[in-house]
Amino acid sequence: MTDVGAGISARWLPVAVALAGAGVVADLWWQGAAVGPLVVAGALAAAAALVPASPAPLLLLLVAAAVTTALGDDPLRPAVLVLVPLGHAVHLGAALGALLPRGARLHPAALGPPLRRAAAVQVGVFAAVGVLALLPAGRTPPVLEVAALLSVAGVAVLVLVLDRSR
Amino acid sequence: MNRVLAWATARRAAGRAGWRGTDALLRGALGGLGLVGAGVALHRVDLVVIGLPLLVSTVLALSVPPGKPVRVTAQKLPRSVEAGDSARVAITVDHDGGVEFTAVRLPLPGRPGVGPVHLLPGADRELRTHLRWNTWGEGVDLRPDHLAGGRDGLLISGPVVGVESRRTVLPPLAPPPAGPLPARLTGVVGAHRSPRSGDGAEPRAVRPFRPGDRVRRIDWRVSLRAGAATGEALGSPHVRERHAEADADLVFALDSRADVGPDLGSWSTAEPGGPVRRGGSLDTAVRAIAALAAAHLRQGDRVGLVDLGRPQLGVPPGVGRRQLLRLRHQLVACTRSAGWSPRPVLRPGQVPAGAAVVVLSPFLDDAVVDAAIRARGHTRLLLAVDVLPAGLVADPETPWGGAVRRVLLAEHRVRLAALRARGVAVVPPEGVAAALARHRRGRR
Repeated sequence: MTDVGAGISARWLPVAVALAGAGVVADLWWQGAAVGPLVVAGALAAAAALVPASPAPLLLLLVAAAVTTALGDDPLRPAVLVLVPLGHAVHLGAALGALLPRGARLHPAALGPPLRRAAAVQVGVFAAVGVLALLPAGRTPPVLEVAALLSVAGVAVLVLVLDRSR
Repeated sequence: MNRVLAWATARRAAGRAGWRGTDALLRGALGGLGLVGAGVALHRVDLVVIGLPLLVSTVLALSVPPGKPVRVTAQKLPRSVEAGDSARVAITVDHDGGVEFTAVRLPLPGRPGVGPVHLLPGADRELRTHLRWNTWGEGVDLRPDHLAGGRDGLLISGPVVGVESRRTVLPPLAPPPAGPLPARLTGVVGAHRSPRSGDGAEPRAVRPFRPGDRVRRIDWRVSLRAGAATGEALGSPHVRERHAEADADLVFALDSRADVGPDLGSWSTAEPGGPVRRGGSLDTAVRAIAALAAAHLRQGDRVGLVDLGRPQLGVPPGVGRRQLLRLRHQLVACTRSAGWSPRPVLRPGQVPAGAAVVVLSPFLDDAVVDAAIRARGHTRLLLAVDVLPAGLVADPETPWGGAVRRVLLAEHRVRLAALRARGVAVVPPEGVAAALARHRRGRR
């Protein structure tokens, strides 16, 4: 039997999303992004915090990825690595914030499982990054590239089919 | 392959059970796959690295499909409670597992109403919340609306509106001193002195014996003394009269047509928390009636209720604890439909002959004054209790606020003066018992 107390205000979720979004914008600024993309990213970060159940978080991540790709060649530079947890935080914070109406209360115990899983995912991704850093840079054989693309497409088709069947 | 098929079957079952994807699922699947795919296509490892957490977390989240829809049930509680009571309520959240979050609407400790939505761990299946009823009235205090979320909130079921739990919180019983009441002429039992002679305990007079008097009423000491004075022993026997004891009828007339607080600017708007303005005229009147009714019923009086706004909601005079419970329930019922009647109704048939009537009203219109003065003619005692809040505050949003306040107070004074001029005592709520006591002393 769990006694339901007052918890904390669920406004901390939009605040967390806003902080993560601000971190994304700061990262873009740190990379030397122009004013236009910064303004767009800032607006999307604000929209993601205020309206988490909207396309704004996804667009923020896409804009940040596009700008980051355009601004540097080193794929494992710090600016990219900073975006990995920040993007995940925006995604997770917006996902949880979209569940709750205004005035809701948040019980910190509810955040335990998703935060533990997010930490495990981050550990896995950074392990993969470590492996990538050890791999020799150079052009991949075309056959392998085609196979990789087909694999990704296969995963996409599988997800779509399964989602439709639901 | 069998595992994939089992997963797909479970996903299909979840879809039939009402689970659906959220924006986060679209974001994770589309964003993750899109970034990873674009990175592979464009030979950009940085895109793959940025998109990988979204993709991996989405796959991990979808790997555990949720089961049947979540059911939230609350423990049953009594329909009526006392103001100031509290209780712990058990809420059961029933699901198959695979639910990471439950968002349930539950009351906050110490706050009225159904409360906000609480985001709780899905693993907590037995919840307990604390209800406390500080203010009287009728309302919904528990409605466990709920929504269940799968891992990372990618799949949700709901929101579902919970079953309302309505409750009547009875007005509190403050302990005022109960004053003596005028006796009812037709009564033969009770705790109050009747003006006629009878078999009570209180002496009334000593007078010469008349045919019809009981012999045991003869006061031999007085008779001998009277005989010695006239020189004729036992010439004029005297009897000692006693007062009869009678029950008393007390009828409270509640003016439920207006419920006003000290702030004049809020008179035209409804109270956000419920039908009754806390600390307003109706709240004051109801609390006073409950307290006085309890005190007078305790000493054996017959107490009734008249709703000036809705005569059909009245309660005929009665005695006992059940009558007190009935009165308190009816007071809540009167306030539920308060403010809808333009004119007060106080007919002679609503008040037993010889009863004491206490009219509780803010006296904001002439109609209630007319009704009280007309009722004065067929009652033994009528008290007017002014429940208009003291220290009225003018509406600051209009330049006429101060003038309105002055006019209103002047009209109020004139109405109270008219009542006094017609022999109706006007008292504050806490002065009813003292006024009844003064009335009795005046009758002696």
